[in-house]
Amino acid sequence: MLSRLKGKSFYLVTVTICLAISVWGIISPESLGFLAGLLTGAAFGSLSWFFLLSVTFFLLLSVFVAFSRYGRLRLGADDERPEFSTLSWLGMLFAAGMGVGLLFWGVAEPIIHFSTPPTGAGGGPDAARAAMVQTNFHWGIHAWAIYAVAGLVLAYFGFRKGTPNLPGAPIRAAFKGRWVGGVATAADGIGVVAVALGVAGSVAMGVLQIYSGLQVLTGIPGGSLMVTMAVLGVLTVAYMVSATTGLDKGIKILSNTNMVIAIALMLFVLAAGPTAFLLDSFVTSLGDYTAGLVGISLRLFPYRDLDGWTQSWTVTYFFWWLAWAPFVGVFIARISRGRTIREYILGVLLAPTLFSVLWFSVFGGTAIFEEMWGMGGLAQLVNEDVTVAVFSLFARFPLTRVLGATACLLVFVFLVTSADSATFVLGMLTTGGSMNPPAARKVTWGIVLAFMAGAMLLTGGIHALRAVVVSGAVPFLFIMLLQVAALFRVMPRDVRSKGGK
Amino acid sequence: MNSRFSILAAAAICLIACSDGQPLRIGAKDFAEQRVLAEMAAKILKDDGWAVESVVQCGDTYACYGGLQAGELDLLVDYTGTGFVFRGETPLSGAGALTRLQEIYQPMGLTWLAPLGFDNGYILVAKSDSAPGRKLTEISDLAATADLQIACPGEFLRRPLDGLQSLVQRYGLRIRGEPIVEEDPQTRVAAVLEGRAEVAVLYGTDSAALDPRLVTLADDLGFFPEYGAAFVARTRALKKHKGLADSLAKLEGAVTREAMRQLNHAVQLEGATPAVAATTFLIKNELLSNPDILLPQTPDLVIVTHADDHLESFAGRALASVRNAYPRRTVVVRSTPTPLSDTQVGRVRLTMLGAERFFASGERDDRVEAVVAVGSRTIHQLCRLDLENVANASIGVPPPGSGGGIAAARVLAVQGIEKAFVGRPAVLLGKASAGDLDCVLVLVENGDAEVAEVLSKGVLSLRDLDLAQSDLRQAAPFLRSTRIPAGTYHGQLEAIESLASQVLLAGPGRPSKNVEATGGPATALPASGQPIPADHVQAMAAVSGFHEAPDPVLPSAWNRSLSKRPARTTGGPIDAILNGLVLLFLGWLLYLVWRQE
Repeated sequence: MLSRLKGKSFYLVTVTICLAISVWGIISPESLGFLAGLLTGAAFGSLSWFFLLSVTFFLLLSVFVAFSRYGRLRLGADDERPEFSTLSWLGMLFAAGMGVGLLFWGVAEPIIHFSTPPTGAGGGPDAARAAMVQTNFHWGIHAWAIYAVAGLVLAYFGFRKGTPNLPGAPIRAAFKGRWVGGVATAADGIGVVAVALGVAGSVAMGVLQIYSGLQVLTGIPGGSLMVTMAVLGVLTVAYMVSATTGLDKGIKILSNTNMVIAIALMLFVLAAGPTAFLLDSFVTSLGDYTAGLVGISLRLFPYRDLDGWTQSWTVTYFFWWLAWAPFVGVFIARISRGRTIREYILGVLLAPTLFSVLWFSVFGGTAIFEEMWGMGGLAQLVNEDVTVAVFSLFARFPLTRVLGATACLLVFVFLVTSADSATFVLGMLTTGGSMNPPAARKVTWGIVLAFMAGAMLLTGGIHALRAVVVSGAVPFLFIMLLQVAALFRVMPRDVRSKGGK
Repeated sequence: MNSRFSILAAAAICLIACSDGQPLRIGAKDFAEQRVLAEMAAKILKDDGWAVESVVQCGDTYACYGGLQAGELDLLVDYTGTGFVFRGETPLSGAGALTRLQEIYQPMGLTWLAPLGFDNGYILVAKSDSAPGRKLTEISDLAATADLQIACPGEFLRRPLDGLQSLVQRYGLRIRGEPIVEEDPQTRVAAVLEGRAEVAVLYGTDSAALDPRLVTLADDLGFFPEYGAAFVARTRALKKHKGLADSLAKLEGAVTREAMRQLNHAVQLEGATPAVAATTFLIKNELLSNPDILLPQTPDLVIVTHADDHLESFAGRALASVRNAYPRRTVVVRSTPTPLSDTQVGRVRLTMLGAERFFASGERDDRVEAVVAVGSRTIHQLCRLDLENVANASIGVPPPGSGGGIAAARVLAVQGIEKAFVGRPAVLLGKASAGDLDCVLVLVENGDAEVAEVLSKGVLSLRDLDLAQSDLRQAAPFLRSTRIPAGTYHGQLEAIESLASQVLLAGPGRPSKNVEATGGPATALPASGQPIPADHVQAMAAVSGFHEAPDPVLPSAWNRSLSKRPARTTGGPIDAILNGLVLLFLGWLLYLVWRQE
């Protein structure tokens, strides 16, 4: 019955589900949060081992595929060649990794783990090293393993089998049986909801950061719902304009400029901050991270009664990435057409990871340096309000206001570009994978996204919000595992038939 | 002969080598204060364009003077008392001291410059609230105490002129046999705070003296010699570098004793480097014309109260508590009509409120959680002297929006009284004094000045408010049975039965439902303030001056772990079912991949 849900009706149903969630969130945030909290609470409480293991499995799987005989298969026809040069491809992967999250958490996360680590005493050299490893664990190769697998499945089936860009497509192509149609359609729907919730969550986060920046820069009072909504409104108008007027080229330029500014900002902090210390800390983090990868990948603290900590940090992050996976997966699949699987996986795993390790070493390292040998006081501020982290770090640099304004602008443009792409991806997912979704659908999704972000900001219940975002992503994990099964159903046959030729 | 020649040769070499282009060298003896002051001098001089070599650690006083005389150092901070003792003279105090020092140091080729502004001589500290009715402000006040116990460092016992024996003789003190000898100033202060000693001997700039519970006793007989800090420079260096003295004069009188204590505290206890502490101080006091860095801007830490609650008298203790937990933040107290919601959403960090505010609307309000109790207020029932039966009297209560109003309304409700006149406490007391009201209920601290003044007029008297606490459990769980001790007010001969309610500082509460998340990415959405962390709670409680923990009926950081933490979910049926389903799913996946078609 579910399998008959196609085309327009699939679109209407998914829009209705997302709108219903936001309306529910606006009218009765308590009950929405309670239900979502009940579901995710039970899932987190019982299945943390499974979630962590699944993500580590994605990592092992990608490494295995890259170095096995499958690694030589091409994402495309066997005689196809890459569309983009390797250099610009790597550049685009960097860009995919860069986002509002890095600006938001670049300072805050290392300093939080440094001052209040899950184990041991905070504030010392050991805590500093552990903080960098922990942060890199959350933002590094595991996140990209999720994206790599999501993109790999889409690219493999899309470019080699000609299936549409939908989460359910690999399932339809690889399996036979009465259950396939229904499960595949459910997968498509879950993908849509996961993307919508994940992107709306990031938009909400970005809005708060912009507000916090405005507060620091202009001295307007904090905590005003009016201002929050005004920022969201301006943001919505901006991405709607860009999504509807086909300013594709303009957006591309804007996005590239933003990328350059972000890197310039990082280089400025690197140069104006304790440069040698930061580079030392980059190298040390890289070593600590590589060396500790196995242990930390499988660590849940069961004997310390810290499963709550792991759930609210590590597992929540992983679900955040899972929520974005259908979205980022589409993008990295599209830019990787024509590459071998080995190239694809090594590029996707390593390039963005290196970049984020560098980013956190620079921003987090400067913050830790300030805390250990400088004026200090950052940890206290961040403990009160994480959104101020990056701005209070800039207060210790020359050109404070210029840096602050730049960071605000960066966040804004990142949000516009990613919300713009999100409307495209959601439009695509709800028109059977068409690369040219009609404008009306994009507009509708733009409005729905704004509503969802507004609801998240309005509820005031952060835990409710987390629970809602995660409830979209938990089912998607199961879909991804099914997709992987589909891949392994099909890929060996392809290798065999290729070898037989 | 030979050795004299080599000294001359060294001096000659130095004349050449030490002359032009040689950056100034500033010495520091081996303790934190010296390093901070040396860094401060270095910064000030660099700011004026002087070339300064990094600060040189020169050891003890002998070594440092040796360095100055040999020309290895140009500048040092020293203390006037030390200066006299070093030359074998009895320390002088007051204006003549510096002139005398100039005289005796001139032959050594050294010049004493203007004083920095603080005195690092010995001080005596006592507990600020040592005993009711007995106030200690100066050392002479100690003469009234028999069996005085003093905590001091070992050196203080041995010092001939300004040590313990001389102090006792000069002030006519009666001390117990053996003083408590502790080398660590913090331990001496602890002895005083715990009541093991009445007074402790400290250096004037010891950071231990910052404790808000201490009072520094005035040396009313001028017994202790001054140890005023001042720059000592090589006269030759001053001559060579014209204007050096002018640059250093910027620091004349700029460092108060309090400021120096703060600086020592920052370096010794907060781990700030001397350079950072010195720079921060100079920038804050606008002593640098070209500061090369900006000071981190930390927003003020705001405590809000409801204007109608009249908690001004608790503000001192609240401030002391908060400053102990946040030593570097500026703390301000403001009033707002919505203290609880402002705190909950994180607009302000803390609110000061009476326990009654948690129960303003029938149910307990968990938007904020109590952090530390700073005092307690008691309902005072004042009635006309000639009133015989309180039952049918006309009663005045504070407005319903105020803490006093909330408490009074509950008390009336329990007594079954429906009608009451509503007005601000000052108005109520006025009306009752004038005979317009029979009784008034006000919520104030015991010994409140306003109530004391009204009672002294002899028109009103305190009456028992004898309600069983069991009756109040439903209506007003925040009230505790208490007695206003006899003698609290002038002419009050008996203890008065009444009800008390705590005054507390509260921070943002924790959400009571859903998953208990302790941080993590989702906390990025600060639609609510973050609860006060446990170590800050401890730091605040340490100095609140009110030892009781918050009343257990209130949501509080103290009983959080008892009420909120659910047991681990292992072993429940849901746990088993979910894990079973996941394993089935994984099995199904394996079957899908490997089955034969």
